[in-house]
Amino acid sequence: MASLVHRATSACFNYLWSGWGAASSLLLFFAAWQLAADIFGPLVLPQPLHAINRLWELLHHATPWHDIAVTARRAISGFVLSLLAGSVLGIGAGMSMTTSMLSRPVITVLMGIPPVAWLILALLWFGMGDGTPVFTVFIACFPIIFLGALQGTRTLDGQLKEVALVFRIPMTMRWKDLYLPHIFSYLFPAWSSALGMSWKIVVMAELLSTDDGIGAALAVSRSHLDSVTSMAWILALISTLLAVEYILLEPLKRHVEAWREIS
Amino acid sequence: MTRLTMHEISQNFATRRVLGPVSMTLEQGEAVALVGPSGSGKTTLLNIAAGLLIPSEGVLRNDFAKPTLMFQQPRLLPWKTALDNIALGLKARGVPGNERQFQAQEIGLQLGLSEEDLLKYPAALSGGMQSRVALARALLPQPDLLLLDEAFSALDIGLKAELYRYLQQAISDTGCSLLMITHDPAEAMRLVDRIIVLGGNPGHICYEFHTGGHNQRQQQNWLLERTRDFLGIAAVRAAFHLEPA
Ligand SMILES: Nc1ncnc2c1ncn2[C@@H]1O[C@H](COP(=O)(O)OP(=O)(O)OP(=O)(O)O)[C@@H](O)[C@H]1O
Ligand SMILES: [Mg+2]
Repeated sequence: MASLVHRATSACFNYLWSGWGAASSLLLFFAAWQLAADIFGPLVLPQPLHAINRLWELLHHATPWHDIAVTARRAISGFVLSLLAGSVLGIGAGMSMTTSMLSRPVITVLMGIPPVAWLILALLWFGMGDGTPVFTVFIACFPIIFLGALQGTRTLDGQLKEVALVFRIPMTMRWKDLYLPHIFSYLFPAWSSALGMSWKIVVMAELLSTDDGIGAALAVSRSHLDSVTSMAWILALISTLLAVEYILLEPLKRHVEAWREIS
Repeated sequence: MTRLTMHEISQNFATRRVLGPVSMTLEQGEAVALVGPSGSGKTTLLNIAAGLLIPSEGVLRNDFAKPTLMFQQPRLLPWKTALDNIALGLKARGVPGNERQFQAQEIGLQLGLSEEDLLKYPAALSGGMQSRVALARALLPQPDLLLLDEAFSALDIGLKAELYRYLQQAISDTGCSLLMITHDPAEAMRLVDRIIVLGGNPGHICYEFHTGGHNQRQQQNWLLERTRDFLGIAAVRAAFHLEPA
């Protein structure tokens, strides 16, 4: 018990300590931004402080929060759909040699199609509205997750199956305790890169296809040649991405992959 | 009568015959060791006995109800702690969490692992610790046939002596049968009733040695003497490619 507590606190401390590295690299980034803003002037690149101030002002109104919520809803819907479909179909395809051989080239093709091309198709199929960004996110994330699930399932080796046979492990426990943890170690990185991607793709889709959401707000500020507001929105995007990465994904990853650490 | 019978068993991998034909019987309560040079098919034979490999030819009959196997590599589940690895067989039988943790801890401690080690993941354990976890995993479900593939080769001499005692006690308490692979003739002499020497290519039975001396196995002198007898046999020396004595 004591050792568990000790473990948890030291993990927590390690995590916070690793934050210093992230903080200093962020500060370096802001310094470079400031330098570039000084060189090119405020019309091309506003100063970081101005952008931060503008973001602060924006956030005191109701509409930006609405836009952020709308964007988040679309990104998360598309991501969850691709997570479910990609994981289930990927595992299914990985269970047989034939289906995994058949699906690989299809996935390569899907991965090769740029998201913008999907966006054009989606506009034709779904028109203006939620359907287009959600579909674009879904189709861009799907192959990544599918491939992760496929590889995880393909690399299940005979050795694990022999352990299951020797100890007469029933089917549900086989999946829960042996196969899924192995597959998960391939799936999890795929999920996290797809989540980051969904956030970027949704904004791109909104820019061209909707009249609300962060992407639409960006389109408006661009048409007003308002570089400070554009930069403020970009900052908002990046901060949410960072927040998801460091508050959600990274601790989750440390938790689920604790067994990889040789402590 | 409960027994394991192999009749004219052969094994081919692709077109190459690696084993056979081999016939042998293991009676209930009997302890048998398989020895032989590397690549002579010992692991293959053990896998056939465990039902993991269907032999290319021959008939296998296994009446034992609860065999377990300890693999040559530990094959622990990397995402489970040592304790949960040991408890795997109990979990498969539906023993509730607290109960199996308790039993796993008990056997883990008896095999010389510390409470702290038992909470670690396999990647954080030494090779010898991993093989003790694997041994505990095979022993805990109280098998009626225990199959061991080089269970002790990663251990120091002190630990070996301790685990031999533990294994002998466990076997005499439960009446469990034992089929073990080893590279150490003295170890075989100490633990089993009969030593089967596999050799040649494809591997076949070159010699069978009855160890005898049930009550003398603890004695160093007896062990040395019997091991010398064993290594003096021409057929055994030939199987291991040793020059004649
Ligand atoms: N799955 C396999 N596919 C092809 N060949 C195999 C396979 N398993 C074993 N062999 C071959 O069968 C032969 C016997 O292997 P086995 O593992 O039974 O040897 P062993 O007696 O256990 O050796 P060691 O003492 O080194 O463990 C070897 O030549 C090996 O290359
Ligand atoms: Mg072997």
